[in-house]
Amino acid sequence: MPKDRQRLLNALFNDTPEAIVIADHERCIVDINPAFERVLGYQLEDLAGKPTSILYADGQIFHQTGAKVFNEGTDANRSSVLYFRYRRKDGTLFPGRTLGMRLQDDAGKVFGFVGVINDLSALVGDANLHGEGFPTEIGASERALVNALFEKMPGILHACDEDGVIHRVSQTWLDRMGYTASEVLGRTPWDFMTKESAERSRIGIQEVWRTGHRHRIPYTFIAKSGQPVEIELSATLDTSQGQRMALVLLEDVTQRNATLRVLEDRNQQLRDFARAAAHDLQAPLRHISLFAEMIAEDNKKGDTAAVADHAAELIASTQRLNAMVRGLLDFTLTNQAQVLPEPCELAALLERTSEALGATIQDTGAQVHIGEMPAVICDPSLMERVLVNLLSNAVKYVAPGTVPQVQVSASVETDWVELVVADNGIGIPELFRERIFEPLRRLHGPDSDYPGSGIGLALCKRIVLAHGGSIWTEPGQNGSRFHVRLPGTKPC
Amino acid sequence: MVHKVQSVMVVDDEQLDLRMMQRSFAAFEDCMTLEQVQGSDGALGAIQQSRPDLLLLDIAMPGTSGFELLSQLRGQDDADRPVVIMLSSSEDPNDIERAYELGAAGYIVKPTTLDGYRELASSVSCFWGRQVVRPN
Repeated sequence: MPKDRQRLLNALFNDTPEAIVIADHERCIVDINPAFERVLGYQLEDLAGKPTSILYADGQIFHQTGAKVFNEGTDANRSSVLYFRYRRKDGTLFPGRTLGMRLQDDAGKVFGFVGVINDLSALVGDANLHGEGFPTEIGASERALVNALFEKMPGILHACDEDGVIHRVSQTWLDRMGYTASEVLGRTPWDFMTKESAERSRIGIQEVWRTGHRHRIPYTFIAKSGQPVEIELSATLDTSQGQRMALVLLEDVTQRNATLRVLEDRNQQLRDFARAAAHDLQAPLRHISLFAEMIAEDNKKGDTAAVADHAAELIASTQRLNAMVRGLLDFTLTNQAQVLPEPCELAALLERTSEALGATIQDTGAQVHIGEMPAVICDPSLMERVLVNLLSNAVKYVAPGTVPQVQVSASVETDWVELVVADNGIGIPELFRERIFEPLRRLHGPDSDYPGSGIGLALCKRIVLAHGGSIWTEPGQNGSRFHVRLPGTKPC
Repeated sequence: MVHKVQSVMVVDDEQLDLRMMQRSFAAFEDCMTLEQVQGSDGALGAIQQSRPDLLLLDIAMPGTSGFELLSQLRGQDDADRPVVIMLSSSEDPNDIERAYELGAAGYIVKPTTLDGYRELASSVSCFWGRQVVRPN
């Protein structure tokens, strides 16, 4: 080495404004230059033999990014520019642009590391805020704008390099996903996605390098809490800093998707329901028209007995149609009703229900036994309709000549209350135990002993589901048992 | 040996619909007999016992629906099973498609007038009772 070179290197080391630190192969500090002493406030004796990781604001970042690049790098990566926050001796932080180099002998054996640190705080602003500065080649006002974008705009933004390493992340990103900057910087977006999304995104990001952008691609992130965050990702390629970066905007569509799913579900239900309704309303309508025609025909013939007969049936069909339309309206209104749950005493609800059914109970001579009842969390007016339906069914579906016996009981589990309405009725064949809860599905025809609109149990199911509960039926010792599970009032 | 459709069975839960069928098919007694079964409960047994040539089967019945009966019939390995025509009060495209998928030979929307019933009985009797021949 020429003699001048040695002198030059010494002058450079001592006089350069950039902070230089030299470490051995185990990353323990062996030397620092005067600029380093000024910038970080340490003397060599403070640091000699200490690991370089104590210089970083966050040791974790160093292990995730710095160590990775320097250790795993091939020859091409013997030197890298990285952005870190550093901790001065007095504990304050500053953002730095770091040129890191691996020192290797001819055999490729690493014998040390050199770091050249540029204090960017004058350009980037307060490093005690999250995030790190962008490279310095743009002016201060643009920088302030970029900072404002990442720190204040309510957008979920990040910027990552060709390896996917996140260099910058917005405050909204961190707030939404529940992470701190140090948990995110230096990692990749794929670390925060579902496996499926990460796989797609690893391929998808190539599109950015190839075409310069991506537009609203759906992915699912996982927040720190474990909750999925559904997003639509748009990205654009940026090369203004001399390095290819993907600037990524994530639009949070979790809520929108949830609403869409509910709407889709609701629409499907409405379609099914409209179909079933149109279908079922047609039958009594057709009957009314046929009876009217027969009345006209038999009237011409002077057959008054037949006319009276048809008229009675016409009226019955009209009443059936009426009941169905009322039921449908009821069902539709319930579907739209808002559930306003509050703690309710089941005993009081059942008492009101029995009063409402007073005439029916009296007519049939039914005996209704109500056991001890706990409190539940429910919307009282909606739940009363469930109870009215269940109790009136229990009283109605008995064999001719049988006195209805209804037993209402309840059991309390940790956070659930299970209400059981048991009857001594005609029971429900196994095949039909689920479908009786579908709207307009009936087990008994209009000419049977058990007329009905086919809405009652569908209504019950709709209401109970809206409470987050469940409803089902099982055969009892004689008759049926209807079970309703509702949230209890005991805290979980 | 071939034979023509002579025995028809109608399965429907509605008394009125059965009565209208009875009334309208009465005019074609010379070529067809009509047996009525109310509701789907005993229908399969009645079909096996009477072995009708032609079955007019209502779709919307409480309990077991016409479609379920149709699939049960199709599941039986019986060369002698009846020709099935589905009856419905609506022209629901899904129902029509399903009927043919399950092997129905036809789909008839129930008439809404007395004349409509007469025409139904007349056309079914003329076509199935006078034109169509079946294996013996």
